[in-house]
Amino acid sequence: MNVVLQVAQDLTSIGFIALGAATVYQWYRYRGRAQAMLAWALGLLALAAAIGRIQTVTGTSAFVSVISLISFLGSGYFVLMFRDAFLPLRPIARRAATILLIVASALAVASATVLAHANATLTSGITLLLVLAWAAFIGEPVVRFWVASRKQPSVQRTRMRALSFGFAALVAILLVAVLGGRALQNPVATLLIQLVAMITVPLIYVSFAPPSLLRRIWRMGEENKLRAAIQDLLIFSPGPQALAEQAAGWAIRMLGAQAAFIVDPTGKVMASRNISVDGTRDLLARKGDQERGSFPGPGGATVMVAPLRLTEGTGFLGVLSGPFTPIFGNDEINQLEGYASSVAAGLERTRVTERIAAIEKHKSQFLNLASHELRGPLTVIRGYGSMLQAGLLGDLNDRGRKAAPVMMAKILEMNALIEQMIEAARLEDGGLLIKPEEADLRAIASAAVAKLEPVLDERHHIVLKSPSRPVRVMVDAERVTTIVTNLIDNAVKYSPDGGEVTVMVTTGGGVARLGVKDTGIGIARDDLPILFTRFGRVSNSSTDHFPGTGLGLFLGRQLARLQGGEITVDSVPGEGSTFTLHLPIAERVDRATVPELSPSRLSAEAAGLR
Amino acid sequence: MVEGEFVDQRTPAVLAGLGWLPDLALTPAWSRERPHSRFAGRRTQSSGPIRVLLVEDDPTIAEMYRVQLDYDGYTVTVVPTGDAAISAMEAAKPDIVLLDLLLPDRSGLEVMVQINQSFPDHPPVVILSNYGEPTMIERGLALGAVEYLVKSRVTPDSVSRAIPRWIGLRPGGEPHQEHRS
Repeated sequence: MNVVLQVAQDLTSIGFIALGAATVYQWYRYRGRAQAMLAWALGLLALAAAIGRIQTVTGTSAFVSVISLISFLGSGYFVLMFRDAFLPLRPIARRAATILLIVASALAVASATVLAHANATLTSGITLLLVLAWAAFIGEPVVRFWVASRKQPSVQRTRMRALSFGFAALVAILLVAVLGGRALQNPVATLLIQLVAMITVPLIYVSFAPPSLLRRIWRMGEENKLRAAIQDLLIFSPGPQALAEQAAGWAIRMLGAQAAFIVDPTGKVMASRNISVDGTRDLLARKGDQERGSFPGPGGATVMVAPLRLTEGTGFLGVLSGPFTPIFGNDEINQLEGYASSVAAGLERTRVTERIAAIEKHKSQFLNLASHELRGPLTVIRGYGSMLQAGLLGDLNDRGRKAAPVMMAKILEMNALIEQMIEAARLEDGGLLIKPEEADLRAIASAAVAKLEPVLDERHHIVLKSPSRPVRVMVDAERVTTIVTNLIDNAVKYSPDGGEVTVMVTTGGGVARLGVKDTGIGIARDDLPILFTRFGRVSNSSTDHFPGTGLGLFLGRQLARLQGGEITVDSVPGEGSTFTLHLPIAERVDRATVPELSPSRLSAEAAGLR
Repeated sequence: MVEGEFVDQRTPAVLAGLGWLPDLALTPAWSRERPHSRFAGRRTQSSGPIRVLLVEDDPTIAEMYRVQLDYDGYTVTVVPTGDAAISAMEAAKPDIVLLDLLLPDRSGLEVMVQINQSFPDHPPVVILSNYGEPTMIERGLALGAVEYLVKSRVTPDSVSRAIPRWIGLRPGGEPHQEHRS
């Protein structure tokens, strides 16, 4: 048992000595006050531990005891100073700590020399006082670090908690060991204490020098969030301003910074978090010419900037270090620079989106205005045209009688194009109203066929195939008729050699379908996607002579979608096309609850308008 | 009816409101019977031909409608402004009002409000406008217009033929109004 205890004690001592060496090395490498204080704290603790082990072998000497005790007290004092490097203590607290250190050191010297042979009670009383002083030095930072860790990014949070927990464990061990007295003399208790002490070594170590693997693990949750946030910034941000503000917030979280700011190429502060606009300007004044890197900020803080490369010039993304910010080193600058390029891409995108939206709006307004302005003259042309054709403006001769209907047909065609343009503009403005009512798709199909049949030339004919039972859909019947008429009209138009156009109404899987199949020129596979886009006409030598705005299918699909439906196409070039309108079948309504004729329908019929 | 579109009675009923397709069902006009005073010969509560008040500031369109309505035997009064329209309501005692919405002095909708206030028993008003926005149509019909027509979609002939029917649809008394409100 004693051997095990010996080994455990050796291991603990070696652990603390290694810990001290590591912090000294860290300080040597990175410098900085915080690093120095930590190096002092753990270096002195290591010294105390080493002396303790050596004493068990060589025996005690007063001088060595004094060194050991003062090292021990110093280790506590420097933990407090380490905290001071992060979060400055009030001057009075710092002075009190220094006085406490001097008094405790004097007591330690006294106990090891003058009072070495005094009675046991006095000696253990002094020891208790020394441990309490040490605990006071360390206890404050332990609590402070734990409290401050809460709002930190995950890596800093974990590091601060490890530090806090490690030192708390040390304090606990010493208090238990000193206060426990005889009860803890048995080997098992000592071993347990040694084990706890051994655990604190790696805890404290990862707090100041966490290996990259651990950092990666701690950061994982946050990095996922950051990735999602960047994606969010790039894709969904409503505008440059909102994006800049979000980006500043994430820069703070990512680097554990105190504040962040984004400045556009003109020098205007786009966003600043935890810092005023004026404060940001002050920081930029300190920056000088450098595009990237860090420079001292106000009150011992460090400022780090990375360029934000935008089309109109270079802006800046910057962060300001705070009490808990880990060092701004090369890694952090690279990280910030990578982030800045993502933010720049996001800003560019929002600007492009805004520009496109503005262009879209102008185009929509233009379309709307132009088509309304076209209505005026067309009214007169159409009116007089019809009066001319009717002979109201005088009798036409035979040639005039032949020309008049051609002119009227063209006027109506033009009218239809203008109406399509207005409808498309209205669709984009959201000014299009759909009034769904229960309707029978078969009736709609036959109405559309009935409308077109009289104007077909003898080479085309329409075949209508409908099921025997009603196909109920909740739609705006007028809109759907418009869609279907347009599909049939297209089928005829794109079958220049004549042929059969089949209109089929079918149902299945809760969907009602109305297919319009022609044997016309068909559509190449590559051209299918543009069919349903606005003004998306398949343009080639064989189609150029067909009149149309290319709005019909666009409007048709949009109207279908507004009613929960869809239009699909299936086509083989040279063999023909099938356009299918899909509409959800209406839930079967109980007949008893539906009046035979609604008052509005009755009145509309009475008015002769339906 | 989506846009309150006036519909030729010969077209299938379900096609009411068809907006943007060519009016393919139009029968050749010369094949129609066209007797002089074929519609306006019908008497209203006051004696004489039907009196039409046309409120239209575009002289070209006004003249075109005047030719058609004269030809069909109506007595036509054309006024170009909202003010003149209100005065003419009294002076011309129209049997029907054809009202443009874009007038130089005020909107046709304001004229309608004024007509409703000053002439509770006013004759039917038909709006004839270049604007076909659903909101405009709703407002026009809510104010009591018996019909809202987009000018470029109708011809003077079709409007002329529908006048006797509209006169039968006086605001208030007819069930036709119900589905407008």
